[in-house]
Amino acid sequence: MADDPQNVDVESGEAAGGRFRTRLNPIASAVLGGTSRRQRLVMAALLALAIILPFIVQEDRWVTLMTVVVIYVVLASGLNIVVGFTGLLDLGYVAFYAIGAYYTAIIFHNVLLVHYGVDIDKYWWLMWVNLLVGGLMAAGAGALLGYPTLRVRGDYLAIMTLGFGEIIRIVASNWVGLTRGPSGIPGIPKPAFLGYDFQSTVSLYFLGLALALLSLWVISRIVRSRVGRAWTAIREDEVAAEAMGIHTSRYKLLSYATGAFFAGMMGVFFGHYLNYISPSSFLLMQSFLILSLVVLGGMGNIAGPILGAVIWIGLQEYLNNFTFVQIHPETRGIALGLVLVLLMVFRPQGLLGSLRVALEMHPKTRAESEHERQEWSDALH
Amino acid sequence: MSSFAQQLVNGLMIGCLYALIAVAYTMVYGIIELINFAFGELFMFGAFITIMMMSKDITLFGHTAPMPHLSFFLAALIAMAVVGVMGVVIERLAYRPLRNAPRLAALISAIGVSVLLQNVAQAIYGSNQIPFPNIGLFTTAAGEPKSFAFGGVQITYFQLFVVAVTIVVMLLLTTFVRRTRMGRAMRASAQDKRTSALMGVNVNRVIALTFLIGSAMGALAGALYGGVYHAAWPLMGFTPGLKAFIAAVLGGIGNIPGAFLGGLTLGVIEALGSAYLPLGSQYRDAFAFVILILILSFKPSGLLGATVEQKA
Repeated sequence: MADDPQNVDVESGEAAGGRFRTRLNPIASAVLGGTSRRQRLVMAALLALAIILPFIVQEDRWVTLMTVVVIYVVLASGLNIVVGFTGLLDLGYVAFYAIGAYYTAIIFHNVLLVHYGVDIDKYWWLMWVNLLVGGLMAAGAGALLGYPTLRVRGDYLAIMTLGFGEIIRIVASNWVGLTRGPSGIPGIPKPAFLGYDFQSTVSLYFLGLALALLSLWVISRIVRSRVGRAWTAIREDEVAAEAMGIHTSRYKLLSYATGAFFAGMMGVFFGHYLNYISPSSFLLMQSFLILSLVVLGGMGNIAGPILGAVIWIGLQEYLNNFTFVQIHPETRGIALGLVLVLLMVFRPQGLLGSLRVALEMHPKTRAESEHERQEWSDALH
Repeated sequence: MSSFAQQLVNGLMIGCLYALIAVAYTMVYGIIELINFAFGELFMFGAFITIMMMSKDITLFGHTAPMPHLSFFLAALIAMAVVGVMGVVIERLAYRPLRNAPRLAALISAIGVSVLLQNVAQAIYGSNQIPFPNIGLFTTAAGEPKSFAFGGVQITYFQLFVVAVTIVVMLLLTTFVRRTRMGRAMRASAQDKRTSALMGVNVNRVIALTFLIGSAMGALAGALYGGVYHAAWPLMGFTPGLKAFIAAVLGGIGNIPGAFLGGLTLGVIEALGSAYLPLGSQYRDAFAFVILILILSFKPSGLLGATVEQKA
């Protein structure tokens, strides 16, 4: 997971044309190729910190915060597949998270507990199955949702997902027979494995961390595979990608599905972690929050969402200690909106931004745009 | 039967409001191909500013401030002007720097503006609903809306006013785009910005004007919506904004008569669907979304759109 996903593409990038080569070559090896070892070290250090920290802080409050961060790391990394690597905007990502959470809650509460009246603790293994099944259900929903937008521009996906996010919430609030409406579903059992119960805050944190590491490892493998290169190609130029023989529709659907999978899986974990879910956990603002984590850390970069989640969720929790923020929760929304706009205008590649994304997002250098401005004003006068 | 006609009238009225915002989406999308999510929030500000202008005093940031206590018409005009300028400023600061960047950047910026405005409104006006003052011309002395019965259907004068205003505005806009020099510049820019610039069109000014008109339309819709539902609240713009974009797609994006038709169609489908479908009123907000799926699957160019969307 430590490698910069871009480094595989250095040759192809250089081969793409003189402009790219002349601008990149002096720093290309430093930024695109050469940092993998350093990044590996940084990531190893972070991992060590993530493992040691719960034993240092000890307080449950901080371990809980770390668990929340870990959940958001996975959500942001999953969204990064769609937004960062494939370049398509998904504004209802939290809906897939809700699908996973509701799926496992309904299985355990409605089916096992209420309908069959069995001792749900005996079915501890079902949670591990549900992690996969919940993920797959979310993936199916993601692909279904993306399908109608394939014929039109990618930005329709933003509207589709935005609408879907709202519909999931409406269904969760109104279909009382299935979801118990706004009162939510309680009594989802804590995770357990072969007689070991994940009861303590620390054990739950480590379970979340393990899931996160697994997810990040899988994501980093996918984006460096043939599939990941196809996604990046679609992001950079869909028409050219198609001309190069990439089946863009298929890869876009795969991207929606893969992104949604991780949200669904984390939703299952979230349900068992909290033992209780309700529609208020899956608000639209959550989708925007996850998007801003990706944008803040750096789109199209494996480490970006991790950094984004650590900084933003950490900051948010820290600021919540202030009375002003408690009285005025809208300050968080204002900050979130500002971050999105300011980053897009001034640093679209985010904090960790890969040079490749930076060049793509600001396609014209200053000199070039000056030149063009001159051209335009010449034409006008 | 009279219930059906009543739903039809209500649907047409709400459809007119969708149509006004849909025009904003369709004009902006037609020229710079950006879904400006912020129109929903500008709609909300339109309602709030109208209320402010109509009140004697109002609570802002938790403090009471004196207000001019104007008539509805003047208040709505001021709201349109203020929100129009807001739209131009937003375009200048948040979208123009990204005009050459990939579309994703502008879309994220747009959603950022939307989140920002929503929360700014919450900071200014608080998160609860604030009531819309009664409009003298459309309210009886007892505070009831004036209405008349027509073949068993109860129609308020305000509903009639909403429909009339929408029709007049649509006619004016269509004439403006079809007949004036600036309208021609808009159509040219929508086809090809660079060539238009070479032909002497000041594209930046055209885009700014489009945002001015679109935002003013949104504000007008907001003022009317506030008048219909007797309230304004910071989140009021989100769902109507989303639906208005869907109405614009339904009518054929970039097409002003299409936006009108799309808005009316959506309004009527919603009203009839929530009245006659099982559980319809609970899932009222889902209809627009189903329509979007259907239209994207079967006729992505919309009802009146002639050209098929091109990719990239």
